[in-house]
Amino acid sequence: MRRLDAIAVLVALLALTTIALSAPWPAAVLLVVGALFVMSRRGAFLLLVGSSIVINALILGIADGWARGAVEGAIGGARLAAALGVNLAMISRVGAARLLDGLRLPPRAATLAAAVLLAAQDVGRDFVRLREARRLEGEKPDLLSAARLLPGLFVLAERRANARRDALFLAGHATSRRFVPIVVVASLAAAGRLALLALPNVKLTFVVVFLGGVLYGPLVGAMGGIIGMALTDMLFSGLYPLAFVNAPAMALVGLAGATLRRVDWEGDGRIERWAGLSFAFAAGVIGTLIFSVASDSLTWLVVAPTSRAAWIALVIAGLAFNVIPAIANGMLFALSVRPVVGAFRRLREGGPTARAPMAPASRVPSHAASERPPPAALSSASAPR
Amino acid sequence: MISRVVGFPALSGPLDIEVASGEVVILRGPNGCGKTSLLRALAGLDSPLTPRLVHARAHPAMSMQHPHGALIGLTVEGEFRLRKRGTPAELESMADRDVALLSSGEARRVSLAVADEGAQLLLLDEPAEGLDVDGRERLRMLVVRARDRGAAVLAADHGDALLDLATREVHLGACDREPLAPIPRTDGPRLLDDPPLGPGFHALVGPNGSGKTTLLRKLASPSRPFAPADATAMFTRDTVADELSRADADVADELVPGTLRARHPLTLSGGEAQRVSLARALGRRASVYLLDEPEAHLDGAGRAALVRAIARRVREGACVLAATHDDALVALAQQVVRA
Repeated sequence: MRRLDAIAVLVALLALTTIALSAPWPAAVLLVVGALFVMSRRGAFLLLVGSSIVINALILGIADGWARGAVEGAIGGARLAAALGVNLAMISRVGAARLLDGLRLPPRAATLAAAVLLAAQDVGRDFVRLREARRLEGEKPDLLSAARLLPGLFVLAERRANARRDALFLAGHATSRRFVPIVVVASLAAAGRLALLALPNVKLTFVVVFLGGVLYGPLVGAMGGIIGMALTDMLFSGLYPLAFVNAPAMALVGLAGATLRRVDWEGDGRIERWAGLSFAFAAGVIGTLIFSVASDSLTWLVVAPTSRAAWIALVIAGLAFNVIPAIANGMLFALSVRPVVGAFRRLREGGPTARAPMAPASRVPSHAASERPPPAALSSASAPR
Repeated sequence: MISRVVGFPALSGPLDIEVASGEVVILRGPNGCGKTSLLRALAGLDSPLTPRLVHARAHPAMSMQHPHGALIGLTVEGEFRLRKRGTPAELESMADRDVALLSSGEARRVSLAVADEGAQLLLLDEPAEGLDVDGRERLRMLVVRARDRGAAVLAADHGDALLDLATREVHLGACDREPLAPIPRTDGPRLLDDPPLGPGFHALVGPNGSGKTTLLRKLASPSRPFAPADATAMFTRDTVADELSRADADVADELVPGTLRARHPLTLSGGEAQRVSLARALGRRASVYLLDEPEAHLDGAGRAALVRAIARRVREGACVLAATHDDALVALAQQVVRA
């Protein structure tokens, strides 16, 4: 795709999103109908349109009175559905990878974006294969079995990210010290959005970013969350505004994980361990609820920005709706942190280091932060003993 | 002299390889002997822990063992743009394709084209794995071009794809090329409907991207064990022994050396991981077995062990369907299915 075409697509996305959110409501309805014609998965989108209209009409009807509120809610729901619809339709037609590639980003940004999205695809494939391996062994697919795959996924993601860093090095592109961990967290966060897509707000993304903070520290946890979310928001929904609340909110989840970085999860300190697990559970619950408030506040800005009662109703309804997902996330956070940390430790102790394909998080090859070294550097670094 | 390696920690015996301009050297050796580690050290990716001497006096280009991991762009065109090159003419038809959605054979073709950048030292790690006939021909042309411009080519390979172009072979440890035992032909009721297959060993063939893997995955179920082409993504446990806990001991012992049992599955070499994956699948009792490029990354002994394990299951009346580009395996098949 040429750069000009890619920019034209972005401009068109921006224009259509603006029309969906601010033009008279028949325009939004027309856009919904148009998106339906272009899309391949019409059934799922139609369901989303219906639920968006009904839920918003119901909540605003209760808050602002049935006559005015319900109509306002229904129109707002249609606007949101139209904005999402045009973005999804266009991105699915053009192809997110082609669009990003066509923008001709600077090499550093382009290689990072490509590394995250390619690793996310790899991880998605790994997830399917791991799940398939379990299924072929007779295990039933459920939330817990999905969570049990997390340690392996982290380990595989790090392996994929290392391979990408090596490929970049061979191509003469410098990568920073944090390239691998950021790609791990961001790619898992992106892949996690696809897994468990059907369950609202119980997404592996939350727990992945939290664990990214636990394993790699605050900067990587926060950056991984932001990059993973921002890229997949564009991938899945173009310029749909609600999606972009995710990125900064996800950074907070990564920072929360980083506070547990020093906990000795496998040591003798039971109190320390239990305190850590309790904090992980609380972080999962509170993180999900904050997420809910942020996203409902943005919905309010689109649907009924002048009514304070509508904001309160949307937030309360959102919180009520998210109680169970929040508890599920809290449990996922608490249940997964020990196995993932343990899997990393065992992998690093489990084979001869010379053959191990993975570098520890803190160990970065000498080439990682520099341009391609001259061949002489290799020979001088390996003089005979 | 373009490259010289004297001694290498991952290898058991002494080693002194010099690779001169215009030479094509094939590295051979049993699974896990350190071929990939050696190529990576020459490419400057890893420093050997206790190095003796590793020279790479020329700017190296490398095609990695797992081709998807070696790509850095979002589309095929973007891949070459990031390398400040135009898309080669032979890949023009797939320039707009999303790199992540390429089949492993297609990704291998792109990764080989990427390595064909005029480097003076070309390092190829199992470059023929996953390639169809056309892809292998392109690989040969790449090596001939490199040789003719005076570059040195060092390729780790278990097969014969580059054998006639090689100026010499270097063996890193004992790697006897065991002859493949015949697989018995059997009759019996139909065990698969689509494709319609009865007991016996059957080969699924077709060009890269023709849907062989997709078909096998569709057929897989808890009662039909499946060994995928990328073995590592099937491992979910902490040791090889745990991975093989459900496998028949005789099949597991045939395919997986006892020395690997205590290792973490994700620290294995490509060939070792393939052996464990095959033992996991063929070690179970079933009437249908599905294998995706089972010969990939296997050394001579591993291939012979694989054929023995398949023959064992066929004798028991099972149907073994394997997607493969390996002529020797296809020759052993009772029936050849085209994807």
